[in-house]
Amino acid sequence: MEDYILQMEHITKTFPGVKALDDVNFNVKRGEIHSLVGENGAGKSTLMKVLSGVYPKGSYTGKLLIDGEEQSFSGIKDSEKAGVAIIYQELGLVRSLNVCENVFLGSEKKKGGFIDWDFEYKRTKELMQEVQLDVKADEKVGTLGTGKQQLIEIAKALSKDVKLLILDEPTSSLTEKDTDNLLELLLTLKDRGITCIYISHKLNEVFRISDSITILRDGKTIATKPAANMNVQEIISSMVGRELTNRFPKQEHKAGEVVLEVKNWTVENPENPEKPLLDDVCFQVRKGEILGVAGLMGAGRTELAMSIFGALQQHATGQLFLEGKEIKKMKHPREAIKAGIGYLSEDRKRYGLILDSDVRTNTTLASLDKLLRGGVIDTNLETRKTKEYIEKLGTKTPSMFQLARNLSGGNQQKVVIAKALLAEPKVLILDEPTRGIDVGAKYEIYQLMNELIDQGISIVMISSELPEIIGMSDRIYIMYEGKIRGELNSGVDEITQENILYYAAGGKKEDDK
Amino acid sequence: MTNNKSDSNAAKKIGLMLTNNFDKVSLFAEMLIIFVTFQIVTDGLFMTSRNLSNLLMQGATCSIIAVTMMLVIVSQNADLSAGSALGFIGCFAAAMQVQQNVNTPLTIVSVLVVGVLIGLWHGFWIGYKKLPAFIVTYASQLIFKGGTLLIGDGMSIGPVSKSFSTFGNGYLPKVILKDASFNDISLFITIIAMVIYVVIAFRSRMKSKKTGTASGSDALFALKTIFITAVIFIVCSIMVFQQGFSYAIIILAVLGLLFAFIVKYTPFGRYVFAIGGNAEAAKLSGISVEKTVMMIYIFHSVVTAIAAIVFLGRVGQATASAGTSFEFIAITGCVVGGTSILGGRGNVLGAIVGTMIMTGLDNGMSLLNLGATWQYIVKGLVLMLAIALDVMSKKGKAN
Repeated sequence: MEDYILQMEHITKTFPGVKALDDVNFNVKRGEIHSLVGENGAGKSTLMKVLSGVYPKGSYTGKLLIDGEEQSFSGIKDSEKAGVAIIYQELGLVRSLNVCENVFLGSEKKKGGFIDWDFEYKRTKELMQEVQLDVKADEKVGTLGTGKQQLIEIAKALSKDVKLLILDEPTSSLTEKDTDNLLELLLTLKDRGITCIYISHKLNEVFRISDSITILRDGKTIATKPAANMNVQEIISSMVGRELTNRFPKQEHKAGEVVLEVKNWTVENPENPEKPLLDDVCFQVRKGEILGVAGLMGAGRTELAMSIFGALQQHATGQLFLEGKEIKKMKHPREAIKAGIGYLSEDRKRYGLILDSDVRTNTTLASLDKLLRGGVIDTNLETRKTKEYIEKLGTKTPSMFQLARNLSGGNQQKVVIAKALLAEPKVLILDEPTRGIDVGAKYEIYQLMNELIDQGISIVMISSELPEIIGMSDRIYIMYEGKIRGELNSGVDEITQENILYYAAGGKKEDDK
Repeated sequence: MTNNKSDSNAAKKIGLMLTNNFDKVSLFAEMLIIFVTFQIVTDGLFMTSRNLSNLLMQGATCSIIAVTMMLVIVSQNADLSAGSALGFIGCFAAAMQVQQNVNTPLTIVSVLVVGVLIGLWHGFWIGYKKLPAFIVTYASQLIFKGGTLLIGDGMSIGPVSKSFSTFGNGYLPKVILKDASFNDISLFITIIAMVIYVVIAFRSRMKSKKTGTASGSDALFALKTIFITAVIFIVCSIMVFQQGFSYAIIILAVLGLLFAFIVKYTPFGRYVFAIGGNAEAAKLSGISVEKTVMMIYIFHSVVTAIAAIVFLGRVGQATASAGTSFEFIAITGCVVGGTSILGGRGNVLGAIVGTMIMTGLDNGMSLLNLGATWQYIVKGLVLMLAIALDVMSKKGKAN
C-alpha cells in the first residue's frame, strides 16, 4: 500500500454547458514532486481549485482525501489549515507592503491582540534563508523582481507549515537563472519532506524535477506514470490525442505580396527588464492568407498584436512596414485603424463591446468619420450600413436597436467583426476569435474568414486552440517567451499538433526531437 | 373569455412598456408624488402658475449646469466644482462690470473665455494626466472659493448693469398684442414648437417604418405624440400666461436642444457614451479618450459660465456664497432624470426635468418654511435614493 498524501477520486465538475472535469483521479505520494500537464483548458486549474477549496465541497462530485481522511473544504482557509498552499501564476503579493508584512498577511502573529513584529521579523529572516533569498525583511515587495517575489510566495507558504505545495505555471515569467533557482529550491524542499504539485507547460522543467507525471486532457485523466518511464513525445501525443474531425471549412488560398511586415520588434517588460514582453520579433503577413499565431498563454501573442495596433502601453522598438513602405509605429489604435489595421480582442466583452449600447452604435463606433454629412452623423446612412453588415455576417438580432448585452456570444462576435470591417482594414488581427462561442457559430466565423480572404483582406489569427490553428491557417508562427520560435507552412511542412506544441513548449529548430 | 384574454394581454403589454421605460416612468412618478404632496401640504400654494413660473426661473441656473453635468457623469467622471465655479465666475463678471466699468458684451466674452480656461485645466488633469475627477474638481472647488474671496474680499459686488441682468430676469417683450393678458411672442413660439415636434415625430415614424425598425402600434404612437404635445403646451402656458418666456428659460431650452442634438448626431456625443460604457473598448475602437474628456470639460465649463451669467443677472450682485451646492442639485437632478452614476447612460431632457424636480423640492420646502436642517436631510436622502435606484436597476439588467 502506497503512502498517499493526496487522493482525489472520481472528481467531476461541471459549469453551465461544459464538463470541466470528468471523473478525474489524481493521487500524489508523500514527499514526491508530481507534475500535472495538459493543454490550455484541459482542466488543470479547475482541479487545483477543487483541491484548494475555491470550489467548495458540494459544487463538484467525488472524494478528496488528505492523509487518507476525507476533506470537505468550503474555502481556501480550510485547505490552508490542512497544509495545502497554492501559488498562482499571477502573484498574490501586495506590492506596496514589505516582505515581512506580505509573508504574514492574513495570518498575523499576535501577542495580546496586537501584531508581534519582533517575532514576525525574526521568522521572516529565517524563512528568507530557507528559500535562499537575499533580501531584507523590510524591503518593499514592489521593488523586487518576479523571481524573488515567487520565492517570497513560497516563504509565505512555508510560514504556514505547508505539507503540500502547489505551483501553477511558476516559471512562465521568470528568466532562466531565476527558473534554475526555483527548481533547485523545490528539490531542496522535497528533501525536507514537502510534497509538491508542479503545473507547467515547459516539459524540460517537468522532466528535470518530477518523480511522477499526470496528464490531463479535456477534463479527463489520461495517465499517471513515474517520470522515468516517460518521454517528451509520449507526453505530447497524450496531451493532444484527440481526433480531428472536419470542423473547418479549409480553403487553399494563394498568398500574394507582403502586406504587413514587422522587423526587430521588441517591447520592454516594465516589471522585469531582463525578460522583454517581445524579443526581436520579425514576421510577415501576405495578401490573401490566413496566418495563424500559436503559442501558450503568456507567450506574447496578444502583446504582439496590441503593440502593432498601438494599444499597448509600452512602446515598441523596431520597424513596421505596410504594403512595402515603412510607416510610423502606432501610438494609438486610431492611427492603426486609419492605416488599415484592424484588431479584435480576445475578450470581446471587456475590450470589444459597449454592452449597454445597441448593435448599430457598436457597429459604427470605429467609423463614424465616414458617416458624417456636414459634421453630423447621417443616421440614415448609419442604419443602411449596419443593416448591410447584419445581413452580410448573418448576425441574429431582433433589431439593430437591441443592446449588445442581450446577444449570444457568437452574435456579439459578429458585431465586433462588423465594427472592424466597416473601418475597411487591409489586415485584420483576430485574437481568439471563437473563444466562448458554440460550435455552429464557430463554423460561421471560419467561413466568414474565408470570405474576407476572397475580398483581399489578410487575416492574422491568434488562437490557443490547436485544431483551429491547424484547420484554418495557411501558415503558422509559433511563439514562445516573446519570440517567434517556429514557422510552419501549409503544404510544405508537416503541420501537426505535436509539431506546434514542440515549438510552443520552447523547442528549437536545431534540437533533436 | 376572449375578452379576458385580450385584457390580460393588453395589461402585459402595458406592464412591459412601463418596465422598458423605467427611467421615464419613474421620473414622471417622482414628479407627480412630489408635486401633489406639496400641493396638498401647502394648501394649493405650490401649483399656482405664479409659483411654477417662479420655480422655472429658479431652476434655470442649475438646469443649465445639469445639461453638461450629464455628459460628465455619463463619461464616468464628476464635477464637484460647478457651484463654486459659478460663484467665482459671477464674482469675476460683477467685478468687471462694477469695478472696471466694462460693458456687457465684453464682460460676457471674458466670462466665456474663463469658462474655456477652467475646462482646459480640468481636461488636462483628468483627461490627459488621468487624475481622478472627483479629487481634481474638489481641489478646484476650494480654489474657486478662495478666488471668489480674493476678488470680492468677502463683500458682495453689484449691482450689475441693466443689460447684463436681462439674461437673468428679463422676459420676451410683447410685440403686437401689448394689452393682452398673455405674452403673444411666447405663445407664438409655443405653437411653433408644438408644430415642429409633431412634424419631426411623424417624419421619424415614417422613416423607421420604411427601414422596418418601428416599434409599437400606430395608435400608441398617436397617443404618445398627443401626450407630449400637450405637455409642451402645459409647461409653456405656465409662462405664457404670466410674464412670458424669460431669457433664462430660452437659454436653457437652446442649450438643451443643442446638447440633445450633439449627443445623438455627432461623433463626440457617441464617444462620450462609449467611454462611459466601456473606456477600454472605446480606445480600441480608435477613440481618443483623452481628447474626448477634454472636450467634455470644456463644454461643461463654458455652460457653467453661461449659468453664472444667468444667475448673476437674476440676483444682480455677486456674493461670496453664491452657487454653494449647485453642483449637488445638478448631479442629483441628472441621476433622478435617468443618468447612470455608473456611466454610459443618460439623456439631456431627463437631466433638465430631474433638476427642475429638485428645484421643486427646494421651492416646496421653502413654502413650508422648513429650515435648512430639514432641507439638507431631505436632499441628501433623495440623492441617496436616486443613486440606489439607478445602481440596483443596472444590476438587475446585468444579470
